[in-house]
Amino acid sequence: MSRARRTALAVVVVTLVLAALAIRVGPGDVSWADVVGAIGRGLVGQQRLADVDDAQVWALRVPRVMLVILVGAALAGGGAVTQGLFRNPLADPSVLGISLGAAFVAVLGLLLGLDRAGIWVTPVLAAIGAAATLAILLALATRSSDATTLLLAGVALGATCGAATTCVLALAGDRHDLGIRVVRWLMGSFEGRSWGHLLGASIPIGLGLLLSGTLVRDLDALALGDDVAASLGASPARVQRRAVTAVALLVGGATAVAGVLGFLGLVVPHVVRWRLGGGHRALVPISALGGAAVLLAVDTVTRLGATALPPGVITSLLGAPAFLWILLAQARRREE
Amino acid sequence: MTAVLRVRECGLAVPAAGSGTRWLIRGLSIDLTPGARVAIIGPSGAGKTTLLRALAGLVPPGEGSITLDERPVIDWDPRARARRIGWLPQRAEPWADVTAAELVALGRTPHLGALARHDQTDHAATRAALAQVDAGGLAMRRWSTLSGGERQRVMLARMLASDARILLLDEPTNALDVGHAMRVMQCCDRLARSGNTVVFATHDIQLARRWSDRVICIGAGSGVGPTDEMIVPERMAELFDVQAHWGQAMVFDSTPEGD
Repeated sequence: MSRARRTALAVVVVTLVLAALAIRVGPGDVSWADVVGAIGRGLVGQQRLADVDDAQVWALRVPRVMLVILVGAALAGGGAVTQGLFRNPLADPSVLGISLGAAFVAVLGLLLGLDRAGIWVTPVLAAIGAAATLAILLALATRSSDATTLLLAGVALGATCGAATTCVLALAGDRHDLGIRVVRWLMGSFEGRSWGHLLGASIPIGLGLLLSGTLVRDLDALALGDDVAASLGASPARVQRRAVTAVALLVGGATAVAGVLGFLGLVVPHVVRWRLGGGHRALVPISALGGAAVLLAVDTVTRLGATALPPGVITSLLGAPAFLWILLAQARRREE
Repeated sequence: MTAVLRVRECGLAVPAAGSGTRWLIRGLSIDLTPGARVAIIGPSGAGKTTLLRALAGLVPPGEGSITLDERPVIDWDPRARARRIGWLPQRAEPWADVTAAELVALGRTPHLGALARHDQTDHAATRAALAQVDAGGLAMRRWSTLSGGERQRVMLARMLASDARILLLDEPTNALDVGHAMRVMQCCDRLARSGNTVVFATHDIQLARRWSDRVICIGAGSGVGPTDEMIVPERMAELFDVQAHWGQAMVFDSTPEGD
């Protein structure tokens, strides 16, 4: 078995163990037997909704855990595609401005009180924001096929949307409830996410992961620059459009259901590339699996505390020092 | 022998200051056949790289035509074209610290499916390409640990791994010492002898004179012809705006035990 396959298998096993633990732990003393029973009954559509344990496990924890896996995979897989597209290990999927575009429209909805119409409103508005950002990026990409231009355009779009979000908050300065709701959403959370969220997110994220899978050969070809990619039969402009669409589906879907989660998309692909090399055939899927495992671990830890910390805070709080340590370790190895 | 890459009355232009265009090359005609060894020489900025890019089908000619098997090279399906034409750019660096084998395997891109699965043929071609440039021992070395000469050989292997028979090389000996430069050119020579078409741009007139049969001069006094007729003091003087005359030069050759 190749090193990539062994790693993939190990990460899948870790994710499954974490998923089992994540479903077990939390308020209420749910035994393993209850967990298995509830999931079994849920799968055949015979869940006992009156049973508190069944409701806890099947209606809350199972969809939450699956959503965490999906979002972690989306962000880290999107990170691997972004880094390959821009040929830059420091690129994060947020550089395209997708998540901030999504956040702006979602916050606008919160300001207007649209979210009172149902729990689906904010995710849908965020998805609209992500789609609008993608449309602008694609329009720019058809004018210029230069990756640096696209990168700077994404950064500029993100900065504009971020400033606009702050502006909305400042204008609604006297409405403290709004401020709290917005900050809570921006921090990212999996609290109270249901099967509906999971189904809604699985469509864009599933499409994004499939599209990413078909991009691996062409992302490899970009390794030596646009001209070499073109001479190898991969049109850089086409690769760029497809990669931006994939990242928008992944990040847009993830942001819509979980808010803005930092650092995962930067660190996970970076570590995988360090251990397994730069080939995207292994890098993209293993980054996605790794992102799922890391986010699941983070989310489970945050649920253990008395006050549930937002997972986005933890990913950045732990991710940033971990990233620094990795960079130093790499520098040390290069000097040896 | 049949012409493979056929250039007819070709002109290449770049946008000039203000409006309009500046012609780098006009009226160039040449047939690039299997076994050909063709050097492109001319002063910096004259258009050597632009010509190679046009031959590779990366940019269309401003006038005239460049055809591969009777079809304009720019109109070819990019992947089918990549299986026929290999291109070695002047400068290219991988952005991640990949191994030599991974880099050479990129040459297989035009043969791979979208999921980039490498089969036995691809692995064999990668190994063979590394062996062809005497870099078999470098396979597992990372890019950051390779010297300039080793990097150039790995890049050459990357081009060869595609099995393309038309090879376009942009200053393949740039930044190499006389020994490494000679070994790269000997490799090109072997490739031409085994039926490949080798076209290379160079600043080194001695190198062009030794390793080519025909020369394309670009710039003042441009033209195409046999090496012996083209690389003569009168033409070189005009081309590079210098005085030129025959003299003695040191000649380098490989050591008896081969490469």
